[in-house]
Amino acid sequence: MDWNKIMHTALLGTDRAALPEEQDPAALGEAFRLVAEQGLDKEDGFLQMASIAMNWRKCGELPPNEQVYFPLAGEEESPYCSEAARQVLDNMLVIENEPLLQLWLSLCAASHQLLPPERLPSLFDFSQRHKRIQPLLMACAGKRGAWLLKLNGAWKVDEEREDGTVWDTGSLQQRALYLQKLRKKDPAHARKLLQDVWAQENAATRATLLQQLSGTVSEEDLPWLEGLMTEKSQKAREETLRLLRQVPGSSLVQQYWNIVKEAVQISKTKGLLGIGSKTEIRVQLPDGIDEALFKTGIEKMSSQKGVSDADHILYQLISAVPPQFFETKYGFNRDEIIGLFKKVKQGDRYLAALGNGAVAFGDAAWLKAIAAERGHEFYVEALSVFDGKEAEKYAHGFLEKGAQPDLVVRSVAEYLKEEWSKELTLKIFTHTANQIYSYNRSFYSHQVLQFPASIIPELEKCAPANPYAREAWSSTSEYITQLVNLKVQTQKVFTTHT
Amino acid sequence: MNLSEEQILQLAPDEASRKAGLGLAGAAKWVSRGVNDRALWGECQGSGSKPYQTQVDLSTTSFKCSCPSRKFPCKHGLGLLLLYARQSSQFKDHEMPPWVAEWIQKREKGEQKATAPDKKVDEAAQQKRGENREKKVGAGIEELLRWIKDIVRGGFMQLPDKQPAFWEGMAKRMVDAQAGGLATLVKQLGETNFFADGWQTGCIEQLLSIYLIAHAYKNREGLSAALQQDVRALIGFTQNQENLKEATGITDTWLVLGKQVVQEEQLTVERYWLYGTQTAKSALVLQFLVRAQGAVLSLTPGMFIEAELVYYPSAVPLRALIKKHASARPVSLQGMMPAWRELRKQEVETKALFPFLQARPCVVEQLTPVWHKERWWLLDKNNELMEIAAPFAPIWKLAAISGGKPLDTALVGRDNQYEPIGVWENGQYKSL
Repeated sequence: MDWNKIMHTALLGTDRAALPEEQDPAALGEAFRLVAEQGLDKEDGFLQMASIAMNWRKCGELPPNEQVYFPLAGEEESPYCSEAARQVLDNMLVIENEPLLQLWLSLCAASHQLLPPERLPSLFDFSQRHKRIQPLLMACAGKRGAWLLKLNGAWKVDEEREDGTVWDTGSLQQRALYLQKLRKKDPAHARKLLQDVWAQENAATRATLLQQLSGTVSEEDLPWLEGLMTEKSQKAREETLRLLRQVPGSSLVQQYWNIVKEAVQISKTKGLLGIGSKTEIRVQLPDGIDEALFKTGIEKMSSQKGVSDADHILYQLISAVPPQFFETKYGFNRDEIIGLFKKVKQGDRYLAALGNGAVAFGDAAWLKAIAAERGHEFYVEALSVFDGKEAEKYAHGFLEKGAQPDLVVRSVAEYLKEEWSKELTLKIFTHTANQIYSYNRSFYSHQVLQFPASIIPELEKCAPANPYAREAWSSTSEYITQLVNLKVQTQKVFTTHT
Repeated sequence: MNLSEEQILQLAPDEASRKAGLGLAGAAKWVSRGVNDRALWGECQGSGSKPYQTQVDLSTTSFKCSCPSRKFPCKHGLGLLLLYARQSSQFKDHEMPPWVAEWIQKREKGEQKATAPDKKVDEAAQQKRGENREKKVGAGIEELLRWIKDIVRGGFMQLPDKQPAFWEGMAKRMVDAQAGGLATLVKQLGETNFFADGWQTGCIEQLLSIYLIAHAYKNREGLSAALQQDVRALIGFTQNQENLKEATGITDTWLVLGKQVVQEEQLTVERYWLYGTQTAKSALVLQFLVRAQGAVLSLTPGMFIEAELVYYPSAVPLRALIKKHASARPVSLQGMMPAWRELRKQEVETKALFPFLQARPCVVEQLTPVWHKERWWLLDKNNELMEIAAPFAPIWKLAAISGGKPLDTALVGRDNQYEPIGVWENGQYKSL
């Protein structure tokens, strides 16, 4: 029986469509005849014939035989990771921790091993929400991963490609990453690449690519960068100015310095009868400031009560020049210059500005001197200027005093990317354990790579006195222990198996 | 214990338990740890002053914990098993403390008690209750058949316009008639997606199945005893499990091919698909949980158990209960289907005995998942294709394991649609 005829009758109803023919097909003729002989009403007759036909159809149905072209994944050349590594990975996937996954993937890639194929889909899914893991993921995905990506267009994964074609054909994110890496290895080549394509890129792309030069600009970049100060695109212009501010020899920094050195007058005057001498400092913004200055990111008006516009402008300008310039220009050492600034009205503000300058130009010696003088203020970015131990000491000192602890903790989290000492971690946890609403699991989850394994037996020491916070800390401690254990296990499985 | 960490995590009742279990898989959390051939135990320091006492009967992978959690197994049970899987050397005590010995003893006594004969029942009262129920079911079925005929008279084209009350009303009527199985089938019919392409075929087949069952019940006198039991089970009559347990079952080393969990309002139905490694028989074991309580089985896909299974009476036995079981070592399987054609042949033989819709598990050699004509299929060695029932969430996991190469595959399905539930890779079973 043609199933379509059954369907036709079923859809229209037995009131409007005829019952299927008995003799069609011959194989069911006998069965249908038996149904017909029962003298059933139309509906029962139809239902019984259709039931027979349904089962007959299913029993006769053979699977389609077709030539199917389906590509094979390539044979892997590198080995898969060990079973122990896979197990650690599984545990990470349960808690979905990005830093730990990044660590796992980086160690796997470094040991030239591959992810187990069955974990690739979960990781590709995860990488859609956590794009930062994509380059590392692709480094461990092998040929199976590339094969899967071709099959599933929903996974958009940016691979970190080492070959030069990524610069011509990659996504903006891939190109930016490529430029950033190249810039560190070969700054002139990176600049040349950017110069070559500059004319054909749109404003947003220009700004993004310029961003990748941050922290690596030098005098050699100046001729080209200074030519970009007249860029039509505001985004690209702002990015150019930001880069130029990082080079002491740039015309922008020199422009600022010219005003500052005119504003800061230091002179030696002889004492009475020509015996001894006295050093005097006068700080005053010169008149007739060129309005063009305010198009370079310097604010014209002060929004702070008690701070004049002139002081505000000067504060910004001193913040934007290397403090070293003062030593060279006036022939005094750091301590002497600090001592002089302390004498003037608004002196503390100028010292703060000198500290900003030290941060901006990475002058650790100046920053240390200013920090010693202005012990009440924590320089957030100081941690990026000081070396590891010095930075820890600086942060530890503020935590010890209990001054601006949240600011310190956030800065430590942002700038100290290496593993923290047990002492600093203890100080941080002692603070965060008390602030259960400010520091939830997300905080610990993001910083796990910085926690030393030696902190685990010490966690109890950080428990707050408040019973509610104490209870919460007990649960947080379990979580921290779990994260740190996974970190340790990751390091172990790749050390053991490489 | 032969469970991998992955299998242990699959025992978890939910995602939160998995995460919490992992958090307790460190030795520092456990103030005491012990193991011997029969049990695994440990005391976990929780937030209270007294540690929780957690114990696992290793012969059946059964759990007990003194924590107040309603989940089964609780996070402590999972954490303890995970810790043992990772660091068995940390379990240095081998003599069961009294609280473990007592529990194990009770379990052994319980097993003996379970095999002891029950007290006599009032057969006359039971028979009367049975007759009353049959009357109710009979009356309900008459009404159901009239309802079906009304649909057929008016045509299926009118069905998309029906209000939910049309389906709910008949489903409730079946519940009143004590025909819960039919109520579920009617409810499923009402859940047809009338916006999907080809809804007509599925809808008609479902209605015909209901009609067949209802009619088979009406004419049950003419059916074989086994098929009568099948029809009664489909209608919603339950089987006395104590009686079943008295029967001799089939002993084999069974592989747990898969576990499916279905939430039905406050009831959780766990379906375990089992495959006899020596007998090549398949089985479906059901476990019902009310608000996550009442679990007696803790099986996980990929687990091998040495068990005696008693099948519910049927023309083609599938549903079974586990009379007794113990963990077993992995063994190789016998009797895989060589290709789709052989499976279809077996299906035809099954359908001749049991003409109702029912998904069954099977194991087919060397199938390759392929993307063809905008759908996923399983291609056998004869280039014959079987469609993978959509939606199938783990398709990418399957594809990733395969890499375009064939794999021995465990499936659940019927007719022309199957869902893979596990594959063998390098001789190891991996659930999907």
